[in-house]
Amino acid sequence: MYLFEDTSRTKPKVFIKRSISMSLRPTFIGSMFLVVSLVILSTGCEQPTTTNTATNNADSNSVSGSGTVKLDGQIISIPSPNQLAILVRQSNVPFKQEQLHDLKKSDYYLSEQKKALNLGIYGADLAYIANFDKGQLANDYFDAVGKVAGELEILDHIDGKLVSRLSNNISNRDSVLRLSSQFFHSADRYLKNNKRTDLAGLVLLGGWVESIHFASEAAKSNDDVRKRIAEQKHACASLTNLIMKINDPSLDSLLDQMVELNNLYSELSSSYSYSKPITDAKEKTTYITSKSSVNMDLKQLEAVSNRIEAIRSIIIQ
Amino acid sequence: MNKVIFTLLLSVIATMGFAQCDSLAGSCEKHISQKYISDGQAYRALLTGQEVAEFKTTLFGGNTYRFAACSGESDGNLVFRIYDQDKNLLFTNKEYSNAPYWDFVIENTMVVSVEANLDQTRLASGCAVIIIGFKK
Repeated sequence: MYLFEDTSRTKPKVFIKRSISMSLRPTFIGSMFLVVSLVILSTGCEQPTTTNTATNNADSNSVSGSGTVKLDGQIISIPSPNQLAILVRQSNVPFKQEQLHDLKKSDYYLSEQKKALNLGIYGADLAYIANFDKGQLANDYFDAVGKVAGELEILDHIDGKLVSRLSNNISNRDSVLRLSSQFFHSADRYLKNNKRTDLAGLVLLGGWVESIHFASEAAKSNDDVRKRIAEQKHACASLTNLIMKINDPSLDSLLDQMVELNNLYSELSSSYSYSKPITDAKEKTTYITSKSSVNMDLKQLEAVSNRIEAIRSIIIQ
Repeated sequence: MNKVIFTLLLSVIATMGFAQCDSLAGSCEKHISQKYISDGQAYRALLTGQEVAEFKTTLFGGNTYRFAACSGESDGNLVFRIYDQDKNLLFTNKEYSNAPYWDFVIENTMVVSVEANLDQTRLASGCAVIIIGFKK
């Protein structure tokens, strides 16, 4: 089994692992492999099945009986900050500007790690603001997002039309949500393409922490939001794993706090029962009707909220 | 010397492979229509032969998700499956001619495993990309 997109800087591991059994062969074989590979790649994926034989042989040691390949990878899929921001808006909890990160701090961060984490923070702020139709404020936070993204050399690689459309529609909630998602999708692609999956992961972490920060306030008076925070258990575990994988001493204090948060999530009780999905082929839609629940009482919410605030403090300091 | 050359050529291959993934992720976005908001991430892997790629994600109750699955230059090259936490198969596009996108209406929040592999009758190797959008 190969896990999608490893977060460490050593990827792409598929190619690395594949090469191990071949690395002691003469240069001639390596050169032939290069030529064959370049031909495969240059023709844009569409290959006859017969061109793959050599590579499959190189993989043979790692292929299990089921035909899947076991590689050391990192699962990373984090809910979009927009999802929680929409729920917070629907909870009728009033907008609180003091919950936003300080704009002036966008000049403050020096390391790439801090910039990436705070790019996520400002991105989640933008999603929160957009949901409450705060046009000018959205403009200011979009500037902060653009500034930090520029310092990470992301901005130069994002479609200028997307940036200008976002800038021109900053007062339109739906447009901001959709276009800012595309912006962060492009940023994610750029970082991963340039083997900076560690930074891509930190952007996700920053966005996730900030979205829980907003939701925690709303969750005190809204059960749906509290339930949604409880349902972040898997995301929390994934992010904790991510920081472990990055293995950067400058992130140690963050990791310690994430482990503690993960422990809090582990204490939540949950249940699940499968129901057969219903598919409407004509509409290309499947209805997933399985039942599930995660329970979080107010005391547990407070513990999670306090830990999130501690993590956020480390990120924005 | 051999190792140096081999390392260099691997770097070239890897760079080209991921550039290809980047291009594919861009073209796959056409399946996430205006109604959907991207989750901001592109799930991708370089696959060969029978290799299977996997990731887990949380699908929140009350949302509708669109999964777009792409590999190669045409639609229908990537087979994907979605399993629940108990490994019950919830969906596979293989039953629907490898449909390049599909919508999922989620009643209750659940963690799912998404697996993908190339349809070997159409493609022997390449970059696999899955993109997820959502709407309330």
